[in-house]
Amino acid sequence: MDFFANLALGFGVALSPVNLGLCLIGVLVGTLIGVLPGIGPIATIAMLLPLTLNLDATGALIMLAGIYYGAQYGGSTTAILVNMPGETSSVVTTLDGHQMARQGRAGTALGIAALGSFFAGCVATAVIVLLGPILSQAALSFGPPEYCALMVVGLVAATVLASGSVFKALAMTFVGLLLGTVGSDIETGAPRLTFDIPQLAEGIQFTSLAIGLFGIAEIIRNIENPEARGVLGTKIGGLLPTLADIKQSIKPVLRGTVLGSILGILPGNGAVLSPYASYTLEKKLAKDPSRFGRGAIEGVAGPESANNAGAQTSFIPLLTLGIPPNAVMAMMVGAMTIQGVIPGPQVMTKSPELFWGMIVSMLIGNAMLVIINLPLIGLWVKLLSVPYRLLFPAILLFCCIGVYSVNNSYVDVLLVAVFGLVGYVLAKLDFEPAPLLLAFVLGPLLEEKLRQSFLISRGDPMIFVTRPISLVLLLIAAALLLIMILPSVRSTREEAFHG
Amino acid sequence: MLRIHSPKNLLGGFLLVALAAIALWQAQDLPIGRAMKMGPGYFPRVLAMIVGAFGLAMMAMSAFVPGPKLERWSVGGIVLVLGAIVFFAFAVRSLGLVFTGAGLVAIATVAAPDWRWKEATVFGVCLVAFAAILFPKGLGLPLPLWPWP
Repeated sequence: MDFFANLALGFGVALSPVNLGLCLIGVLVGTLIGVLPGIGPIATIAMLLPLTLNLDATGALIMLAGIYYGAQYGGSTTAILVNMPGETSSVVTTLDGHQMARQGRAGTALGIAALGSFFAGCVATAVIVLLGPILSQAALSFGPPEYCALMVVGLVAATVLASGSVFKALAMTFVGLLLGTVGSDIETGAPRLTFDIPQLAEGIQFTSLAIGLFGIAEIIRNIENPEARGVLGTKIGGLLPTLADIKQSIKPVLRGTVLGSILGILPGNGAVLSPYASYTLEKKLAKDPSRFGRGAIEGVAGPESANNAGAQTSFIPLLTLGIPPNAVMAMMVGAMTIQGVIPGPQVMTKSPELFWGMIVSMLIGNAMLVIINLPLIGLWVKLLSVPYRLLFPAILLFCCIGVYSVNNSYVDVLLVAVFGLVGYVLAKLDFEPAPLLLAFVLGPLLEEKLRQSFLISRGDPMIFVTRPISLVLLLIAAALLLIMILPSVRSTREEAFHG
Repeated sequence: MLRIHSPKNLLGGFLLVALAAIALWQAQDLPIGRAMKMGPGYFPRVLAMIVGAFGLAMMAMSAFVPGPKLERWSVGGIVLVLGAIVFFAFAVRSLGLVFTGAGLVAIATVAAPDWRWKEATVFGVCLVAFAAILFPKGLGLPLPLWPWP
């Protein structure tokens, strides 16, 4: 009966007034950010880290998680009403969601997106509850070589799933690993690649890197290409879907949830792929595929559910193995480290109230999103009409205050400018920054485990091949890389990202 | 003479090689150790070499594989946005949040091609006031508000 005891513990933590309030703030801010195009969840979490500095670890993570799945939700609002994805995960929703809005069914589209997301969120939370303990048990038996192999799989998957050239994504992964080595050596404490700057002895501050690469670079690019935002003038209409709508959507929601839950767990950015996968699946299964792209409700229900399920289950690798599956989860690692929590299998045993409280809060947060956000849609739409010229100085100011507050270090703020420039140059040269960030977070752990592995094996690299789990993981990584080189897969991958 | 087919990749490759060179130069005094007992210099050096190899390969390929041309870069936007951040970094401890925030907003606002005096001033004042109330007062972050104690 561990299952129920754990859930009860989780509800106890998540339902405390403070944590309920934090969860509410998190989902509201997340929705706000999700609605606004041009600022993603990574920059948001980084920006809002200082808000959580004075909280306890559980409260902080509940709020940050809320921002993350709230943003997924808000992204679909913009996608449906403005035909512009607020987040990358809601690109697919623009296809049919906006068409529905043009037909005067914006309310229905928003409603079904919300309900589908809510259902998917509940199922995904149950998946975490069921899989979490099993996986962390397994992870406890992992030695250094297995951890190395697991991280290699994660990094390879991240490059495979990055959009654009695989070659460039791999290069970015190694750059990220290299940046991760900056700072004191874990064993000898010798300063490495620090240019004799004392403030770099602790390594490059994670928030500076993330805000620079994702927040600042984005701002410069947005100023460069001003986008016209046309908010749909028509009425939103009734939010509640009719019985016929629900009937039409049930199966897509179910399939989307399953797809999203599975893809979210996979290392690499599976959560981002899940809406595409769901849309393709629904289109294939539909009796009349030509309806898609012209306001088919299945094209909203499926991908939206998949997207939310994936967002939730991507917490599984982070919470059980300590390995973030994507850049947003890497951001969560940064947040946990600041709070003094080391992500990994020991989180569940050492601080069960954090683990279960956070998971149950996701359930509550999803319910809040449905109840609170639907009436607030009018407000979100108004926000969209705030011009970017006013928005970005505000984002910039909050980013600077945020980064400065983490360590009270002006060097951290300077690094934001440096990585802002780097991020802009990378974008101009078609390099994808997400693998870099993930590799940067995993780098120090990878090096530590690698050194331990070689110590165990007395310098013999065969240790990675003779241990079965590590061998299987490495074979998976190799297979992923190999598949990418095959031309047929390459073209479908390009279709998935640009179709 | 070699024709460059992909200037983007040539520049990208060059930057990777430059990064690798800087890393190798910084790591030159770190002991490498052996595979069995790696020194602090082992991992960074291996990574720098791999990054450098990627860079060289990209530069080489740019001569043969056609690719996109370089886009226009918005120098003004870069200078103003980054300048605003640098200003904040150096000013926040001595000038306090109010003046630093106002300066940052002022510098950044000018970066937008369509900024307007009145609107920007009103919004900027509200924004700084909000930040001054929220962060040091509301959240208790140790940020000085004013240049005087």
